[in-house]
Amino acid sequence: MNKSIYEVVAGIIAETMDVSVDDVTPQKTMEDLEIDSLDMLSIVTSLEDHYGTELPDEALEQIKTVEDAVNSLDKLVG
Amino acid sequence: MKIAIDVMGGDHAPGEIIKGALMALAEDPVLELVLVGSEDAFREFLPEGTERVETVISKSVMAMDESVENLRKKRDSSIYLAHQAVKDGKADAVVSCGSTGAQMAAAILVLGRIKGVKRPAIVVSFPTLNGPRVMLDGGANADVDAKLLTEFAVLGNAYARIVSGEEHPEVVLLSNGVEEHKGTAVVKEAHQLLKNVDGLCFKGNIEGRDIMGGDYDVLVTDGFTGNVVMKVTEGVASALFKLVKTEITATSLRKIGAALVKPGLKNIAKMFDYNNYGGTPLLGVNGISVVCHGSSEATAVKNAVFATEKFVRQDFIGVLRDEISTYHESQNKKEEV
Repeated sequence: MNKSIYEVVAGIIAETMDVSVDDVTPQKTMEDLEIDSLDMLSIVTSLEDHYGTELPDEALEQIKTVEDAVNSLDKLVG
Repeated sequence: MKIAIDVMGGDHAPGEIIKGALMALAEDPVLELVLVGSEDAFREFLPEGTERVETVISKSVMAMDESVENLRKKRDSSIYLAHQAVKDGKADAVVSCGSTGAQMAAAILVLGRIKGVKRPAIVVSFPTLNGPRVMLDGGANADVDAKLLTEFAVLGNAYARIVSGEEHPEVVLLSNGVEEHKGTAVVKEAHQLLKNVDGLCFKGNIEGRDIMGGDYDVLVTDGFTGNVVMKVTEGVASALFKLVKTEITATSLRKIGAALVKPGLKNIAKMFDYNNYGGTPLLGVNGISVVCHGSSEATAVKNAVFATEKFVRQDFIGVLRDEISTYHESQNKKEEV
């Protein structure tokens, strides 16, 4: 897993969900982190802004865990 | 005071929305507006040289039935740009008659949440036998836990204090019985939590049949139930009016009586007319974003703009922020003990 992308993803999730960055771990699911569709929209938009890219819908559908999000981004910008 | 209006949102957009905006400008000589919409809309409905109006051109619209996830790709939409105007400090608040889901998404995406608010809610104002009352959540959060219902109560309490000036609004929880052991597991747990919120005047549960009595200030429920309640109420009111009309005009003799009761019936119809209610703000987002009925016509838009001005003058977000912060501080202290 790309560590630098993970740090950005974890930071954005922590900020969006108002939780400590330590509570965000690679294996945690979006459900574990109580991320709903509106939260996901905020997180993905922030990530897209950060990396200046657009995540395809198909990739978004595959994201179940924090690590999935990191790997999807890694394929685009890594 | 500058209010941003999404002129592309709503069943009667953009014509009625711009008409309402112009009516508000005519009545309030210091009001300034940021109108967000398409070039075509302004060309057709906005008289050239209208003073105290700034226009922002949007390239897309979030349709009423469109998935909110599409907002990610529609950052040039009127609802998104209207919220952006608030974020950029070009406007003090935003008004929209478009899709509530898209408005909530735009508000969260652009303005963010007030710190400590887990899930923003939609507050709904509706008529009761005791005057207008508020209910939340009106549909933003279908699945909730007890803590979230408690948070809604705190938000609703703050809203009622700001809007009605009532120092200690009475808050009730919707259930299937007034006894505290009645309701779903979530409702029962929420009842216990609400009893222990400092500064909250929690009056217990009420049943569905007591909603229209209005013997409370704030009604708390989940977004699924709240939305059903709202739609059922609208449907029952509409059906009753139709039945009354049919019955009182069924014979010549009754028609004479109908003429006598007509003014009274008109007054009741006015109570149920959403055009007179203006709009209500999304509760919990970090900026004033006022939601109007999708079928709003010009008068409703004008009233929504005036209601929004009032929220800005009252520092609505500042007050809400303080209330939420106080609530969390008090809860944290209890947990420490």
